[in-house]
Amino acid sequence: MDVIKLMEEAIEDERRAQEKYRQGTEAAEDPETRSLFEQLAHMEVGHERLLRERLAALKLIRGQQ
Amino acid sequence: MPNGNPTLTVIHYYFLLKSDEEDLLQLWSALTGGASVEGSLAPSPDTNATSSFLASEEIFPALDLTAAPDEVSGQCQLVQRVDIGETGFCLSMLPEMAVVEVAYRKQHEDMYAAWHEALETLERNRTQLFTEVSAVFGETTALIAPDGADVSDIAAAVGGQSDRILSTPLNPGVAGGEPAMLVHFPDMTKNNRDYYAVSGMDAESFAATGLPRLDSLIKKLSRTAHYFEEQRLTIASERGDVDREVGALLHRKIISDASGSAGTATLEEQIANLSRMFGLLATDSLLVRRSSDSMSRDLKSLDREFERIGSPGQRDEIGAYYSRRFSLDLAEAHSESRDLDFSRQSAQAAIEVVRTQVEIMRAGEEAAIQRQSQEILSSSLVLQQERLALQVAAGFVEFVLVFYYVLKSWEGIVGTDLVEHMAPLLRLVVVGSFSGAAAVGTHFLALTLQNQTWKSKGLWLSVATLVLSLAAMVMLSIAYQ
Repeated sequence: MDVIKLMEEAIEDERRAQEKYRQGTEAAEDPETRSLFEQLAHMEVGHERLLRERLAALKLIRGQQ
Repeated sequence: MPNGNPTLTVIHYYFLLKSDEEDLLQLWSALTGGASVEGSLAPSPDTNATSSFLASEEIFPALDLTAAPDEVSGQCQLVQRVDIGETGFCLSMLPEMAVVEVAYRKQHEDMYAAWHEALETLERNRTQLFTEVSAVFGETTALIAPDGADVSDIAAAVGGQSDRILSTPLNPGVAGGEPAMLVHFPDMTKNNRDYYAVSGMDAESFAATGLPRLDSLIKKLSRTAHYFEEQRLTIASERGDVDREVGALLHRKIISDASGSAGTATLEEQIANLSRMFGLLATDSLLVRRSSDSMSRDLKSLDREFERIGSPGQRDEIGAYYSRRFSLDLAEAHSESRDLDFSRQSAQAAIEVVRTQVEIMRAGEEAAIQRQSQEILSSSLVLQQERLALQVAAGFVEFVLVFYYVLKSWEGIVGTDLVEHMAPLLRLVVVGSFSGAAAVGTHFLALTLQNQTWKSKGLWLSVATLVLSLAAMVMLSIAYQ
């Protein structure tokens, strides 16, 4: 499978995970659980940013081949 | 200073890859309050928006995101513009990127206050935007300063901390024919966001067209260099592993303690392992070469761009800074590429060494097999010779026995006197023929039974001789009676 396609799918996975954790934050009944879900969502945002940065660099490098 | 018309104070650029078309359209839509990018650019009554294509549709199809920039001038290709109140939005195309420009205009007396206000508005919009769009490749904010503005005032307005402030006097040809200065605050933030200030009588023309092209090259180089640096850690680690493994293999004694097929299997396993490492290094090498090729091309473009915008004969601090910085990155990429080539050559040499070991071991095994075969062949030859001698002896014994018993049987049947009256040579021929045919026939019968075929000439000749000899005995007995 092409690495760019793979990374795009990984980004989608990260976005889905963020959505899931945000739903968890809204559904959480105690502050501790809410905080945990917020942290997890924040981590997924970081993962998405990292993947996006690498994907953009890959696209730029490959675009010139 | 104010003449009643709002003056451009701040331009903010969002850079996106052209391939992220969906995100680009989403960003444009979010910024312009829903002004459709499919060409529905009618002014929104409640936002007092106006929009126009600056390029004719014949030359530049409406919102053709693949539109190529004007390579000669190096400026952006403007695709669409929307004005909403005092804020202008432009969508422009570069070779690999799309740029969305947001221009804040303000009627003002105090430039510092105008910047502050525009930057505050910008930050509010950014926060709101980033909940919707996350594919923005990089951002740049340019402050438009009046001619002769103090650089420290600009830095204070930006509000960040930068180790250095760089400036490049602009070629009047790129700044509306007026002298202008480009000021840059590198590394102010780590979020791929840069700050510039353009000062001069007509700073706006350069800020709106020339700066995005220049900054996109810097952003691209920064991103490629950063990506390469991240990958380099992994590559260096893999290269180290391969070098260690290869070193250990090359310093191991030529023929290992293990011998025979077990030793060969071990060596073949080592070849497979080295081949895998070689493949890994080849992949790494390709990635490094692609990165260095990309950086090399972009660095040349960047140098050309600074040469184009810089005022001849004046010191270009920004160009010198980035040229030095990316040249170092490029040198690192070249160095890594050389190291990888060296490691690949070592791995190749190790594969050859191990392959030679396998060949030596196989040659030894083949020689041993040949020796064993020759020994077996010699033993077989001796046995064959002995068997032949035994066969001849047995045949002779069989002949003598058959001869004796046939003669005695004949004498017993027709009488001794009758047989003795016959000529001795005649008796010898008849009984000898019978005995010889019996001895030879037995041999042929055994062969026939062994081969499961009755088409043996020897057998039938022996049978015929037996029959003729028997008939001769009968005839002679009758004749001498």
